[in-house]
Amino acid sequence: MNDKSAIARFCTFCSMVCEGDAERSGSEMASESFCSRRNREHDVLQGMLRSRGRLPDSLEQERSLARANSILENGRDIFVTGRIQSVETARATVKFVERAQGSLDLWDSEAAFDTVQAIQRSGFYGVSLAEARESTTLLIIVGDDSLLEEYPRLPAALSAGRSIPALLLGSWGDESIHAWRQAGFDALVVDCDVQGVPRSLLQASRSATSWPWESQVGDWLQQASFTTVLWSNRNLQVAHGDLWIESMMEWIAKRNSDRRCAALAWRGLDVGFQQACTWLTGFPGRIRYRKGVLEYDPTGCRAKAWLQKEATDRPIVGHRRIRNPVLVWVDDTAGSIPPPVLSSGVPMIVVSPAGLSGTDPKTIGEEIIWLPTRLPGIEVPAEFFRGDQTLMVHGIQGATLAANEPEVGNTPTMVAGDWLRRLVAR
Amino acid sequence: MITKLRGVRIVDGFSAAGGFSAAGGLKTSGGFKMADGVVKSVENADLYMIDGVLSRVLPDGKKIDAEYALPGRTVMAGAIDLHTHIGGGKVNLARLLMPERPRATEPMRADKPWLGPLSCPVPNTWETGRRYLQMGYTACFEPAMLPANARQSHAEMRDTPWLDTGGYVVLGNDRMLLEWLQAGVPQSMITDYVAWMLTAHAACAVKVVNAGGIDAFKFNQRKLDVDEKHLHFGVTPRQILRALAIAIEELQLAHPLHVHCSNLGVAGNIESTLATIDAVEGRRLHVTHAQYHCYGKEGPHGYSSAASALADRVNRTPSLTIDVGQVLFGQTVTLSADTMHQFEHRSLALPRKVIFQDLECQAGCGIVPFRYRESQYVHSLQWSIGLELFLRITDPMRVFLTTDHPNGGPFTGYPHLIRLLMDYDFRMSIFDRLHPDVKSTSPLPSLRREYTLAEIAAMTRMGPARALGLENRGVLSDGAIADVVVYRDESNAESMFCDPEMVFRRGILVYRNGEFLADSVKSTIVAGMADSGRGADWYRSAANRAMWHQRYGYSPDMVMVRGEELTDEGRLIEANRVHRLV
Ligand code: SF4
Ligand SMILES: [Zn+2]
Repeated sequence: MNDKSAIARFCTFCSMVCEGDAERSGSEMASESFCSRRNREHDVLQGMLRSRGRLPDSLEQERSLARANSILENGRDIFVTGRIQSVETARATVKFVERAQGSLDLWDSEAAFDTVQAIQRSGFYGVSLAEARESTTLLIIVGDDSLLEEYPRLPAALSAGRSIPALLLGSWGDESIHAWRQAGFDALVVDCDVQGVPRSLLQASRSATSWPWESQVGDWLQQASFTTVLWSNRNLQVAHGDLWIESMMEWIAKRNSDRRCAALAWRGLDVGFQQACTWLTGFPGRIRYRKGVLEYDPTGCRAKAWLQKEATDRPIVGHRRIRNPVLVWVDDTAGSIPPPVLSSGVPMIVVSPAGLSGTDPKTIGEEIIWLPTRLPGIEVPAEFFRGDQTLMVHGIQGATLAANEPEVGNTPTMVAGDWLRRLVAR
Repeated sequence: MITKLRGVRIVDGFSAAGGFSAAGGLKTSGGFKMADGVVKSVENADLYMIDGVLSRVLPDGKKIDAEYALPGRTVMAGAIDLHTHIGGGKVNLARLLMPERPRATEPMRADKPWLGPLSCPVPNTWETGRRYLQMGYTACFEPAMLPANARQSHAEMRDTPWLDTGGYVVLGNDRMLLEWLQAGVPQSMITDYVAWMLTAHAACAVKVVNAGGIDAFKFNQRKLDVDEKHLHFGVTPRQILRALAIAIEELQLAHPLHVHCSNLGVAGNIESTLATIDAVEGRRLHVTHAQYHCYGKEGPHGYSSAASALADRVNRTPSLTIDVGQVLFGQTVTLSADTMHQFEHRSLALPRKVIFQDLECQAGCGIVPFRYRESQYVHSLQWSIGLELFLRITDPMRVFLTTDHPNGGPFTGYPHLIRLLMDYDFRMSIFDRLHPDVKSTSPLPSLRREYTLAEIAAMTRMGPARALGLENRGVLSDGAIADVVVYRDESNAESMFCDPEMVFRRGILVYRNGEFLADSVKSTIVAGMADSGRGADWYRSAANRAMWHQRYGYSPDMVMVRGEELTDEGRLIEANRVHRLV
């Protein structure tokens, strides 16, 4: 341990977790390390601050906690979901779910589980970011412009300062192509349907005559000693993502018999939750506790399916629901709660940095309780995983919130774990 | 808080060569009983735990808070596993790869449900801590902490309850080091860098895995012998091993270079294993999972035991320690940073799925699920080689009990392994089930040695404590940390060691008869260094930081594990002893 007490500063707006200029001191980080998306996110932060409104005072918050606990007390079917990214929140959430004998699945976990299910059926050949940067002699990028909209600094982060052939498969606009070229890649674009990419590659490796693309591509594939295939599971517009990944792995595995090849399957910040949930429970999410026994149900235990069922199929006996479902929404982001969740009518406990003001009361269900938290990585140091799942970082985002703070700025004192530890269920 | 254990039999680690070992010998006031011709134990003794520390006598005027009369029980220090994969990138990937759970038909102990099978070969952190404590283990060390994964390793160990933990940082395939060796920089630069890597990643030792070979595999090299050159950097494993061993000697680390040799699992690899030992030129060395590195090429299958050659070398070389990496039959998952050789074995995966990763210009990982079967020649051979090593190496202070969890089998197989060592007839009853070609050639039946309790204590407590520089662990002498395990004396060693009656952590009773009674304070063990300023010196150099940034795309600050990350919720950091050169 070095005595240097400064906390590493990085951007947590996406899973690139770019680092500011560490040599510079002061509250604002050197901006050249960061991207334009980061500026857009400042609007999201401001929206979050506005949505907090006047923060409930500590007495009101304690009352909310008591109400939350009474809902949980009567709850029979407790489902925890949300956008969990930091290791701390993941840890506290998993412990709560176990205590509550509830179920757990992140919101929007479909893409993550495509990867999980592909791995659990047939494995994976992967490469980390710095390794890909150094070792790659051919980069194959599969996807479309949304990749760089979501992860603007990917080309810069992968650039080793020498010209590397890069094959862009999918549909790429000029801006994206330019970004790759500017980062030093010798980019060749093949406009194609990404769905068929693994099949085409497999076919080509079986016989050169079935090669669908121009010959330059074939030459590159012939010559490359270390091929990295890059995609982002959230930005891949394919049906049956799990099967797509398995086919791609089949090609990569074959290629490794006489040369080197691996995938840089870029993941969102939710990978932090998945990692922590895996070491704490053995499973990456989609778990439930039933009579003290942990069950993993990657196809059945899905937040969206549960919510849909609860919203449409609510048996009422007398005036009481017989199942007493409770949704617990845990959030590590500045974003607001998605409308289908708000309008589901299921009693809800929200543990999040963004408040509920501005949400239309008519669309809100019968009971919704907000327990305000600090935003991890911005208002309080936190631990995140980079999108390649290799690096776990600890620190705080560079820009101080104060620099963008609107009039209503108001910082909660609690982090999600503080509330989750105080939530009790039967 | 003062607790008294009355009338117990104290079994501490003695050197099998006779007499007391260097670190923490037993001081007693009578009551000796010769247990056999070689080692000793103390009968009918009293032991006090005073505010978390052991004492053989009660200071005047002190009041006892709790007293346990334990006649006929055997008491040992908390056991220490110095090589077990319990946290970090590949461990968690192995968990992810194996969601399968054993069918309910697998045998459970109805009388003691807590002794059932592990939920999977790489259990979650909570189950890991629980099952280790239930066997009387109180400190475990993750031996392959990739620098880029160090924070994650520590986070997983933090979430592993009851155990003190530490990690060994993996070096020797990091391109910064390889480039420096290629450039022929002065050793002092390498030593500074090693100091920094230990400091920054809160590691307590240095591990090298297939020196240079993991990186060579990234350049499509499929084999690298000790004197063979890495095709890109032109350096040999011998150069890497020597440079790291010198750095460790200069920093006076308690634990020597912890080496996973070249040619893991390859027939005939005894040659490169002995060459690896030679490469450090007489400096101290720990050879890990040695069973996987002592194969000859003889016999009908071109695969034979070279255990006697390695055991001879260990017996003749006081500066050498090993852990065995015993194979136990059944399902497991093998995981290693050694992508080169794991890749070679990928077709053996059962179930048929594998994970490989090339990681961060530092190393890699290969995960291959595996089922060891008695009917399979090589598996049978591996089982017998591991036991041969245990039985041929005379000093239990230098051979440690491991399965290289989960590689040779999950750690919950340790009590079974202890019985194999203590009970010749039991050993032979399993031997009889092996592949016929192993049965007809193995010298195992002629090795009639049976380990004594004191020898088991030496190889699971005092030996690893000494190898790691944990001065006040692994023994029951005055001043030691009061991590104490109470076993019922049973003729079946497996029953005895899988189910202690009580476990104390720092003097607090945390476990009794299947029930967990309290949490315990946990420590992270980090490296004590003769000159810990050398790591800070490395960090202060702008040139070094710039080189780091260029290599990885981020600054060293990004990966540096800070003290406050290891001390939340009352956790402690302890530095191990500095090794005094004699
Ligand atoms: S790429 Fe992502 S992490 Fe990097 S500066 Fe932009 S938003 Fe932040
Ligand atoms: Zn190992």
